[in-house]
Amino acid sequence: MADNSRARCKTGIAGLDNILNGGIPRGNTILITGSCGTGKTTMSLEFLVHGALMGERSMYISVTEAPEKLVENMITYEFFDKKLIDDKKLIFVDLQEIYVKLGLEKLEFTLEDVNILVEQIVKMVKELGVRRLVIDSITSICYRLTSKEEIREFILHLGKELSDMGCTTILISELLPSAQGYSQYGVEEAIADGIILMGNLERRGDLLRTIQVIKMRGTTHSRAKYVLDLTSIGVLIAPLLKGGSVEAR
Amino acid sequence: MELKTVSIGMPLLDESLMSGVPEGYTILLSGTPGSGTELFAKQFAAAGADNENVIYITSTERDEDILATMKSFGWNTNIKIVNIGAEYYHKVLEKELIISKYREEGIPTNEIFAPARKRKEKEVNFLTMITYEISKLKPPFRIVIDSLDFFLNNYERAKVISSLRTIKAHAQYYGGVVLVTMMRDVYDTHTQSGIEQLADIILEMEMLRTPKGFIRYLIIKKVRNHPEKAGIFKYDIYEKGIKIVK
Repeated sequence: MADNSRARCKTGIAGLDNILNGGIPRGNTILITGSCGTGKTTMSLEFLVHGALMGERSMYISVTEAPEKLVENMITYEFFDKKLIDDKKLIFVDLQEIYVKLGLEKLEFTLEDVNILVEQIVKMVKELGVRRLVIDSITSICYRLTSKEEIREFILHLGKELSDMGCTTILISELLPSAQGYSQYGVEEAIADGIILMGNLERRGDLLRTIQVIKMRGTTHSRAKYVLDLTSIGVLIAPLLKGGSVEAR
Repeated sequence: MELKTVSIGMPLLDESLMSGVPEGYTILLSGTPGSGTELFAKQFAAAGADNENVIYITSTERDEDILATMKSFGWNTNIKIVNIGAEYYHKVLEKELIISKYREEGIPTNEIFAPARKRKEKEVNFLTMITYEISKLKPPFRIVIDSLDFFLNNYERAKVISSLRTIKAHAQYYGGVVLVTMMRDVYDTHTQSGIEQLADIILEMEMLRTPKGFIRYLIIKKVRNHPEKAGIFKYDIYEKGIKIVK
């Protein structure tokens, strides 16, 4: 099987690498999706930090949150080293600033705007030699695209270019608790190479965070639901004991 | 009581109006491109330079070009120029130039992490800016706005008309005069009539092409309360400027 032939991008999150049989196939563009508070941002950041620690340049493109605030949150983690940022192994980019520079401070993007944005992201990845990329969130970019065709064009174009450069990408997708499917617009999930669903589960009064790999091109993987624990040493993943659990997205 | 008037700078036109322009009046001057509205505006400004505070608001020319033109006709250049064009270039167009460069070539790597703008820098509202400039004028004064098109193209039409109303009220109160230039036949009727209603005097400049060359017409389209003064004149450009001929 292709399983062994494709190079892996180890997430550095022990449980997740096991589920994925070694990591995310390199160059994949995957969607991490879930409602708020399910740990998408934290897990993505950990993925980047582990990459940076292994010497891979990692970039975090933030749409809604100021990078300074994210860094502040990271300091509490034992595996995090501020030096990664000083050495530019871990790079934070504020997309709002990029919007201003590209004249994209508007509510609706044209197809031209979409292409300019993709080109800019690709250019940064290429010139800075980025190996791991997180865009948080793809939903807030798609919000400005006016049609499903534009969203499709955006993610396909971006995914193709990044994959050609061997950059492994996580697109964070915000999901409304009431949403059907795995993404806000329904388009993202169809195009992504992989989908990791994060959710909440109520069990005897406790609210558990859960993680489930729905699909991942280029590798076999477990499709079971696991429990996720956010600790100071990072994300811990454990098998889910199903008794008495109720889905609570 | 006789109205106090000031000269427009063209004797025959003064005569045809009310022995000049009554203080407090707002004149709207429109014309086709090439008909000489900008020259008219300068001649009007120069006519007040001796005895009035003249403010010349321009959106298209450089200060030095305005002064050079005025000097070439031998006019008094003792006027204050407010150059919206230069300001606009500096504050807005320059930014747009950089944006279009970035859009074309992408943001250079060393620029990615530089702050995109100083957060405290306010957007300049040129409409507010000129209204403020004008409110500072001491009487007697004369205001020239060349041209209103800049504002009509960059701001909400209703806001432009409202600002014009403020400027007019200011001129009425202090007995100043205002000349506003505007392109003809390019705006919706609502805007056009809003502006025409505000104007006490409406002048139009027109050129007619004939086998022998251009014939230039100056039309008095409206004089408030004096419909009998409407009329058509010919004009020509002499070494001393625009001259109305009977």
